[in-house]
Amino acid sequence: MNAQVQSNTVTIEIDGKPVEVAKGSMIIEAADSIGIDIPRFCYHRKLSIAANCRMCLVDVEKAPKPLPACATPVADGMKVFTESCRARDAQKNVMEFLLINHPLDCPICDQGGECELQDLAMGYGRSVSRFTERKRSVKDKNIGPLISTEMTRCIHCTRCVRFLDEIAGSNELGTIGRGEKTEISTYIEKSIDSELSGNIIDLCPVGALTNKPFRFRARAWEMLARPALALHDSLHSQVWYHTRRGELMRAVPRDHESINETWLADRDRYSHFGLYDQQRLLQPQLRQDGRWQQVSWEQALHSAAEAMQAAGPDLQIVLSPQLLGEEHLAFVQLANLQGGQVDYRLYTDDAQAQSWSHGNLPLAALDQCDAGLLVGGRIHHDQPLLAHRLRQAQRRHGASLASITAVDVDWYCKLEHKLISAPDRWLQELAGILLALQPDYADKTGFKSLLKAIKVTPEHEQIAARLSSGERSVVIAAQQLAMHPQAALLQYLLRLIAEASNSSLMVLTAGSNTAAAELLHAHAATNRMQGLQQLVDRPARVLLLHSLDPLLDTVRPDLLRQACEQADVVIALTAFEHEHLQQLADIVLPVAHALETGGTAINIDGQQHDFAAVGKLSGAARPGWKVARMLADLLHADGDDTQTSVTGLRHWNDAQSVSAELAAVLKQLADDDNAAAGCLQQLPQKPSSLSAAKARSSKQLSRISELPMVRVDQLCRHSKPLADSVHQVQERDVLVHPQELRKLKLNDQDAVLVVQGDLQAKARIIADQRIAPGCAWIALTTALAAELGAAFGAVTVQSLPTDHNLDDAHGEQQK
Amino acid sequence: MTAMTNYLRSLMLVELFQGLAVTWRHMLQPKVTLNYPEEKTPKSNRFRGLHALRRYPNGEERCIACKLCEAVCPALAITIDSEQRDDGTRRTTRYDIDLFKCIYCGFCEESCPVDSIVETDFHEYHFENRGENIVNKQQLLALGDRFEASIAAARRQDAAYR
Repeated sequence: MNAQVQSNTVTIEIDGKPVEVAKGSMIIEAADSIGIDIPRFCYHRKLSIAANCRMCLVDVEKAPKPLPACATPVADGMKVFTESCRARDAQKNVMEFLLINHPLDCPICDQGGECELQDLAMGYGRSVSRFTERKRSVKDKNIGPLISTEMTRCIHCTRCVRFLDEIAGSNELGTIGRGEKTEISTYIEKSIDSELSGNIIDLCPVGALTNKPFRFRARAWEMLARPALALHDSLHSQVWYHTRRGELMRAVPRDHESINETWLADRDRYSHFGLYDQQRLLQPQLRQDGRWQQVSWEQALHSAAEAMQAAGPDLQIVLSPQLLGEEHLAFVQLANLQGGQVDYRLYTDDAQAQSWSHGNLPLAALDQCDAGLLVGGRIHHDQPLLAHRLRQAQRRHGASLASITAVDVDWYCKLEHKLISAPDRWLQELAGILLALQPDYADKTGFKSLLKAIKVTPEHEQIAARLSSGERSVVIAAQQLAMHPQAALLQYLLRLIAEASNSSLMVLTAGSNTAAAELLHAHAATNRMQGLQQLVDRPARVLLLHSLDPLLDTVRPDLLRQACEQADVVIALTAFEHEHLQQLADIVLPVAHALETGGTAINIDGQQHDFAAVGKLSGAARPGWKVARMLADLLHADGDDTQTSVTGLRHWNDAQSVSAELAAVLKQLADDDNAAAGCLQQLPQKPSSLSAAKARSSKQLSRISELPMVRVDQLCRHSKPLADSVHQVQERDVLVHPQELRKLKLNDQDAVLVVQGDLQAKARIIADQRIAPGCAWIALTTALAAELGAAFGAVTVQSLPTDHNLDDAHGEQQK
Repeated sequence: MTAMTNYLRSLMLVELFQGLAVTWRHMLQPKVTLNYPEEKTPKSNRFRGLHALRRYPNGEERCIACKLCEAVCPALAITIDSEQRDDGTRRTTRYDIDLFKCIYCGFCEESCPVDSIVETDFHEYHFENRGENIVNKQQLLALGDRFEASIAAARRQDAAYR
């Protein structure tokens, strides 16, 4: 054992300090491990070694000339001097060369004050340049609305090129030209479309690539860094929000090796710009005689309490799954107090579907997996950094990945099998893989009628073989799967596949804080709603919506619309104004965004993190739990506390007391084995009905929906940089395969009528090669989706008479 | 003996005449008092008075919103907000100096890479209302326009020592 350890490490000496490091590691890693700082530009611990800046030259004993520390492997007994005369000279000379073509425009450079070149030039640069010739200048590139370029400042470290190649996988930047004419370029004029593109801003050691929306707005030294979480996917990337005078200025990643490593998705980086949008709701509003009036908090709360008092237990509360644990706890308690119903499951149409499954594979181990099956949508848009780990598994370890999706998307890595099929075929595909794993499965169980007609294709067999031969294989249900009408059955099939192939199962959901919501609702709510259908089947007199747009933030806008229309009073707590709320709500209360309150969230791994408020409250907006508390006080003004079932809600006086109670509740749940078993490790259960979906007629198309990456929640939808990005979707587009277009005898961009059940909406039809034949792709959160029904289902597309020019629809697009 | 001498000195009013000599001497010397504000003393070209923001001869403001003055200010008297102007340049949208906080140390003009913020030789100003102590960008630019001649002259004289 001891001999083995010794054989794997070598001992070297850096500046007289002995250090033991792994064989094959570089001098710079050894130096970093003992805190000796070697200047560097191109070296980055997460990227491959380029050794092209030459800044890290060090003096190595017996070497004839200085060696680059980032590209020199350690050897036993090596003696390295980082501050010897020869090393210093080499470093100073490199710095002089680097500064030859670098414009000395630090005062107008956004990187000024946090620039690696500026910092190192203080130590290694000359006070006066000896270079009197003309400096090189390079034309700036337009690479989209997120990153601004100043290519004259570039020192060609190629960190950005290597990042997009190795981490993002999109290969969008490269170097052209040689010597002094070298340029970093996109080859052809195009924007950078990777969903991780913002990271090249952090990687750039100079001011060549900077944050465009943040451009020129603040200096590094005048901002405070506050730790928080990015709550747009279920990973909860760790973020530093830089604030100035209580206002959020920008977001940068906070290192957390098991969650986001050192990266941050663009959505998390640019969403906070929505916080100061014009449409931010700053004052309570009340509908009086059909007109909206701005009122005081007191008046608004009294109106709301009056309506709730009159309705009594006839109350339904719908919470966004994105809300922090504190908000869920407060409103679950309010619902319990009133005897009303409460739910948060807005993104599943199947009440039996599992909204969250912990999975027995921790996120950090995902990049070590050797086989994977992804079912549903594009994970790299829904959970960008989770997809990054899968990509690493494929690129570094050669994992064999397969996907079953309805859209043929670029995964930025090689997939062994891509099964593109309509969502109503997913059952057959999954059953095929299951039967390939266990050919006699149908005979053993009650699945006989369902599985007997299934044909096992060679592809199914290959996927099954890869999954079962892999030592660490993983089956991932993407968030689109939960939106499927047969979600529970599909999830159960995935569980069977995972069990039969000895793989881990990971169930992803839309709604970033679903884990915390599920824990709290499952154990604290006395009266949960059984699916969204109940909103309509058992309409309540008062409907309370918290932080959601009833027509955009759900897979069933039709049900939400009907519920709002049936309720006597709709109370909406929201951070942003929206026309849908203006139409459907009666009382609108401004609540603070999670970033302005702080709170607790639980991520896909079950890791619990909390953070304090980052920005100051906007206008009259107040934390949602305070609203819940005020309502509870007003509803039970004369009541005795001890008589109510609630202990917490009415004793909450500050954020600390709320968080303390939440922590106590969560701790109790964690300690309670039954609760943990019931929730944390729960696997999808066998649904009560095992029938296949209704077959659609040949004239119908199978609707597929996706939650567009830049519109997952209210904050993202109000962020201008995200709205301008390439991932933006059009409000009224329906995408079909060109072959369907020919069948329908329509042309690209024709105005059409999309009919789903009793509902219909005008749209524009777009031909897209990537959509599976027989499908109609409609983005959720758009005006089109808001007028239609379930996210998945049969739709028909009819041509509109030519005089219908979609004018009104286009008008909405412009908005 | 001493008592005798003192008696004679007081009898002869020696000290009185000595004092009067001082009075007469100063009465005949030229006067140093100025009739301020009609008359003023000359000032050093390094005098640090009221602040101003300068422009280039073509009318473009010099300030590039690098925020060095804000950073160096020991009294935290300067507040700057900046943004990209429509032409893509880096410009301030707000440049406030709180003259109550300012200690007139001159660090801001020393730190300015484009000689934009300067302290003029103008020191005769007062405030009548609360809030007037905060001078904003428009006022500072107007001051710069008003005193440009004297600012430029002072910089020229001092150029050799900068």
